[in-house]
Amino acid sequence: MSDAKSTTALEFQVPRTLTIYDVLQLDKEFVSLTGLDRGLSLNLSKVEEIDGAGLQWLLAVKARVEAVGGALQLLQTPEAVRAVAELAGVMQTFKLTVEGSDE
Amino acid sequence: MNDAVDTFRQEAAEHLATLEEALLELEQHPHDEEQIGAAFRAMHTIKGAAGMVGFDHLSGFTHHLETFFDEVRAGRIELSRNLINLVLEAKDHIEQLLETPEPSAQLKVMSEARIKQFAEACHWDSPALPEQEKRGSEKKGDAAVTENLYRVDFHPLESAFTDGFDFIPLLRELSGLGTAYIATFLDKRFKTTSYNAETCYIGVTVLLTTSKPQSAIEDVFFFVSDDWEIQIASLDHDEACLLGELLVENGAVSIAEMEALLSQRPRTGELMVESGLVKAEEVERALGEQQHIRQQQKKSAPPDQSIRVPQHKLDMLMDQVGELVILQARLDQLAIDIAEEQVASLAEELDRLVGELRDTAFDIRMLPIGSTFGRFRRLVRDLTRELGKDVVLETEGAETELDKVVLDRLADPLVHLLRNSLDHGIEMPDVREAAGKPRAGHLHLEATQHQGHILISIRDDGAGIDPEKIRAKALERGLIKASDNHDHQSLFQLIFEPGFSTAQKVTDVSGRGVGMDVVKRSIESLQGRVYIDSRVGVGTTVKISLPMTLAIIDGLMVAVSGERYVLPLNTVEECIELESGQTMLENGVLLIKHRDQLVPCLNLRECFKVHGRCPEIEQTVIVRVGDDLFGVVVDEVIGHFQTVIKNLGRLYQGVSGLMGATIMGDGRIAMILDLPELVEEIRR
Repeated sequence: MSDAKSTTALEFQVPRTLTIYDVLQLDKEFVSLTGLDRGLSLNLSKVEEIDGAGLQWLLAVKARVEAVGGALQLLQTPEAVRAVAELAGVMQTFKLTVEGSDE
Repeated sequence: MNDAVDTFRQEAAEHLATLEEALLELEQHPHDEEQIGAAFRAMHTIKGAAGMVGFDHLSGFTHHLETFFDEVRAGRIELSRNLINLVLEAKDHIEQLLETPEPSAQLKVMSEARIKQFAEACHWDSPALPEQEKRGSEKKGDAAVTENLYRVDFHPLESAFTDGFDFIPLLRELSGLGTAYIATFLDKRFKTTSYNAETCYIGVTVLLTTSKPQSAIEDVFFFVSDDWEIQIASLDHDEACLLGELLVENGAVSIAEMEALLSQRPRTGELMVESGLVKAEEVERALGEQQHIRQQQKKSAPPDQSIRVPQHKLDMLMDQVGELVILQARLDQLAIDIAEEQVASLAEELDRLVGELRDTAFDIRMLPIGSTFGRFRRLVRDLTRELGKDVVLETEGAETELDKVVLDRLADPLVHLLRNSLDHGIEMPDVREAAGKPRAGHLHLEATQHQGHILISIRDDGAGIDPEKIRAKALERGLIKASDNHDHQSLFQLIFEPGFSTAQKVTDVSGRGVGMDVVKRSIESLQGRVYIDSRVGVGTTVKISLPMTLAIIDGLMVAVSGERYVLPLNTVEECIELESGQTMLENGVLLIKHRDQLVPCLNLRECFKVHGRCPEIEQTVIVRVGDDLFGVVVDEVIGHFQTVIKNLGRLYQGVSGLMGATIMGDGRIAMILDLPELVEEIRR
């Protein structure tokens, strides 16, 4: 995880797997972040595997960042995440586009 | 074979035609979703119906094609030219498999080989035919694919993730059942302040348009149905109609008025978000659902219901309507004879009803010529490849309607003419380029309706026909004399003489000199005419003129010394009285002066050698044949007559100028004139 401490958004690096086995630890790290009102960028470039719990965590992170007035941005969304997001109908929620122009 | 199998074969043939049409379209536009969907549905329906009537091998074979198109539909397979070729070959193979429920060992081997080809091309793992038991459940499928819209709402148990149940695979399964709109969200159980990452707070709404039964959706939730909150409901499309839309549809308010009114008030969603009742993303999700429902409604707008009726029943109906028309004519005659007002009134009313019944029965038999055009696209495609040429087929007027009987009998002559154009008309690409033409030749097939006739033209931009070659060939065969003065048009018509061909070489496609005479005979047997026009280096056009129906026409009845004749009413321009002194003879042709032009005439009395005295004032019916006017001189014009066309017996074979006969109200017979043929007499 890297907390950029910039004046703009925080950046959070998500590991290779984003599944039920990872979300508890990830969320601990997330709740420890301060300054979420500046927004959060989740770097997903390393994610190779994601399941329903992982997708729920992304939705929950978004909701909680927005609850404190920030905005969530997904960075370098890999195909694995994109495919699940498309299937679950949350492309729009995360401002992802099919062509990948979001990045 | 039983009725079910016959019906299956007929329907399968139609679905295969749809498949072929879709493939030829996809060859030009490989991403056309509508065509991909049409191909998928064709295979899906054949698979289901084949299983139901015991064609298990065929069902198994088409299962692979259905899967293939499903993959194409999902974007996992890109349609290449090679794949389209494979499917076209598979389509031909299915035609063979349709012959018997238990195909020969050779055909089965071919099936395996074709599936293997697909597997290799698509990188599939299991090329084997699906196992019998796997197909067992598919037999239950309905042959007629009807799609329903379902709304599926589900909320997994809070412990779903830790219990090992992930909802993502379920979404995949649901998507596989049809067209799905999915919205996944955090439901009311989720609180930003008390989130546990291992607890499931997911809610999912799926709008699914599928041909599968509701039980297939329920099966997806088989392992979790007892614990999860799941609601599956079939949506009635009508329920989704909004009041405003209904009022616009009913004409109570215009779209512009409705839009102006709606723009004056804030949208419901905005109001609800502002009031804090719902969140913006919830409105967004609902709008997404609404959009999906509307899209599906558009797609599933029910087409006109139709039923399949055997041809012989339609023929019987047409015969009976014909008899009714004849009986009506008798009643009309009786009403005139007895001069009874009540009978006349009844006859008039019945006349109207019979007329409407006739038109309806006639309309039932009409089919768009496009159904025949579609078959030619494959022919042109395959022949072009075989001949090493590059030809683009353009069709126009596919919606033009023609009696089914005429349409069926027209296909073979058209195939022959197209083959001729492809083989002898359009040059090889290099030759065309050297002649300053585009490498790709153009073949234009067009149908139009004109004066109750259908005009079909087949036009190519090929090498054209050299009239001098025809003259030389005709001289060689003794068809004309050197002293004869033939214009190009009459020389071109010689092509229709038996055994006449100027082709330098005989190919598998055409050029044996057999066929053009058959083409002419076939067209003439449909009361049609065929003409050729050509220019060397520019191209050839073959024009076919056909009546829209062979059953009943509106006619104008005329008489010569009491003998009755009928002229097709759509050719009649006007009737004029002919007094002596208005006519003249030129080169043996009777001419009358009409509206400042000389119109060639034929006298029916002379034409059919009718005895009796000629009246002092004769009548001339001015008719239009093609672009020219002609006069038909008769004793008397009687009036409009609904004419049921009856074939002439063998006795009248070889009598030119007659296309049939009809029975009049008084039981007598009237001959129906074949005006193009009579006009040819004048020209000769």
